[in-house]
Amino acid sequence: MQDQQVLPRRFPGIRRRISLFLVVAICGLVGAVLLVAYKQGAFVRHTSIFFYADDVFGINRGMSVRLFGVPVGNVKSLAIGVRGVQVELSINSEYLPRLTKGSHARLLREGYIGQANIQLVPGNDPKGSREPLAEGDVIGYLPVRGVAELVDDIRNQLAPVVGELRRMVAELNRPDGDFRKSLLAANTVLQQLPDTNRELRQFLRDTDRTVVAVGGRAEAALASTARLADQAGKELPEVTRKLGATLDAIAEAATEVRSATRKNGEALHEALSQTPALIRDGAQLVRDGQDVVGAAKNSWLLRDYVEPTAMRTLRVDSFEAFGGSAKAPTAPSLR
Amino acid sequence: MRLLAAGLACCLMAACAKSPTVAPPPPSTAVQPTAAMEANRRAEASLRRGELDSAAHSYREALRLSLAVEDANGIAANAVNLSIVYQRQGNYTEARAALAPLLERATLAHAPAHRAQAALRRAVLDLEQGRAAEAAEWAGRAAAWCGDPCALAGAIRNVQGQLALQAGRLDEAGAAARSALAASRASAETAEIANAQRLLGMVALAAGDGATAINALNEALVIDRELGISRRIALDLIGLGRASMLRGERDAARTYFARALEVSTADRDAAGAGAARTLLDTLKGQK
Repeated sequence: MQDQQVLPRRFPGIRRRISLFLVVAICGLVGAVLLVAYKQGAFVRHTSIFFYADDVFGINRGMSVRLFGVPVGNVKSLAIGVRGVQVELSINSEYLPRLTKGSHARLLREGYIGQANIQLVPGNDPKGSREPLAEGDVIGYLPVRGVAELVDDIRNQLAPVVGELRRMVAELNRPDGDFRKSLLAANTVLQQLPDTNRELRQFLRDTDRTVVAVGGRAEAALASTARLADQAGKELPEVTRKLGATLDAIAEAATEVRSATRKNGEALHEALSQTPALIRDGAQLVRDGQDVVGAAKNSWLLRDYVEPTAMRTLRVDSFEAFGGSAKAPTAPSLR
Repeated sequence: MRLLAAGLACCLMAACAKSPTVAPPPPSTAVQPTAAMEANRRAEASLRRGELDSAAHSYREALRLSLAVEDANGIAANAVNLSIVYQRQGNYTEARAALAPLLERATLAHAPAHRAQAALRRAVLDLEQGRAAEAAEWAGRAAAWCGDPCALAGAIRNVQGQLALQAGRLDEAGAAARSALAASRASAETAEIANAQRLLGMVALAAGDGATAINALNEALVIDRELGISRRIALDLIGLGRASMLRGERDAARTYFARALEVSTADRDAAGAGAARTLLDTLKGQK
């Protein structure tokens, strides 16, 4: 007798359905994992670059790295090294061509209380190279000045200003200072202003009366001036006539002087024009004289007594080394 | 009778007359270019006035004009003169170069006497600059070119004597001085006679023979006074002062040095006056 298990007829094909379900579930799970990995950038090629910082306060693993505000990678690792803390950045290789050698990183916060991230700033290579960054390259890091440092900076800049303000206020408050003296003087002037105004009005009234009184005298003076002008008008023709006669005499004298000068100039010109001829004649006379003297020298009466002309040679002096006519004599070494 | 007298007078007049047109031209060596000669005379006048710059300029011009017409006598005379003026100016390089047309750069066949003159000038230049070997060589060449008899023999021997004296060869220097004296007397070269006497005095001084030195230097002094060369007079007086010091006659030495100072001061010779003053001070310091 053998018991044979009999499957219930109410689950026909259940095995196949379960298998199908499992396959679908596994595929969905794998798809979800792949989707998450894709979203996390698992299928994107990354390049590691580094920078060194004295401290990495505010920098954490996984922190976003941005270029022009665009996320291009993240902080992959932090390690303490000889040069400080080594920060490894994993950068999407797609953006590497935009990061040339000479780029540097800095810690940036989105607002004063926002999320921090690493910002990459493309820079110029000091050597002028436009070569993009490569795997393992080290870039510079610009440490961020903290709030305390900013406050210190502002305080250092404001301190002299505040000191100067204090000194100015003290100067203003000093009783014997220039400012107080000026204020007192101004106050005095202001107090005297009504009296000054009153005196000025009085002066203007006096001036008005004086002008009225002087007006009559001025009219009399003008009448006198008119009489003088009439008299001058009558006498002026006579004076003009005499002056004209004088000028005529002067012109006549000038004409005579000019004439005399012209005559002298002509005489001088005549003399000068004759000068070359005179010089030529003189030269000819000298040549003739030389010829006569030469002939006389060649005559049998004189030729034996005339020294023949020749170049003269200075005597060669054996003691010239001890001073000629111009050089100082130096005694020879006497032992 | 009248006709005879007139004919005689005509003959006499004809004998006296000498037309320059029919006279034979002078030999080419005696003809000197007028411009070069005028420059030569101008230079000589400048030299007499003590205007060395002007003299050098005129001698340069005379040399250039002589070179331009290949006048060998003019070239020789003006080259030697120019070198003398340059040496007196202390311009030794130019002085040496001035002699080149007669020596290194000679393009004409100059007379041996002229070459001897130039060689002697080179010897004197080298002697002043302390180039004893070159000076001796040029003096030897001068003697060779000069021949025998030689008008420059006295000067050449005097230069050789100075070289021997500088080298400390007193016997050779003395012999050269005596030889120079004899040669200069034979050729009546008064200045070289004085130079030879002075050299003899210097040799005697170097040998410690004060009496001989005084005699020789006095001879030189007399001649130099006749020639009127102030600096040689001062040189003789300084030598006499040294000779007097050698003999222990300090007062006489002081007098000689004082005279040398007076002569140098009057001649506006600052270096000579300085040397005399130094010797006077030395004498005072030895009291």
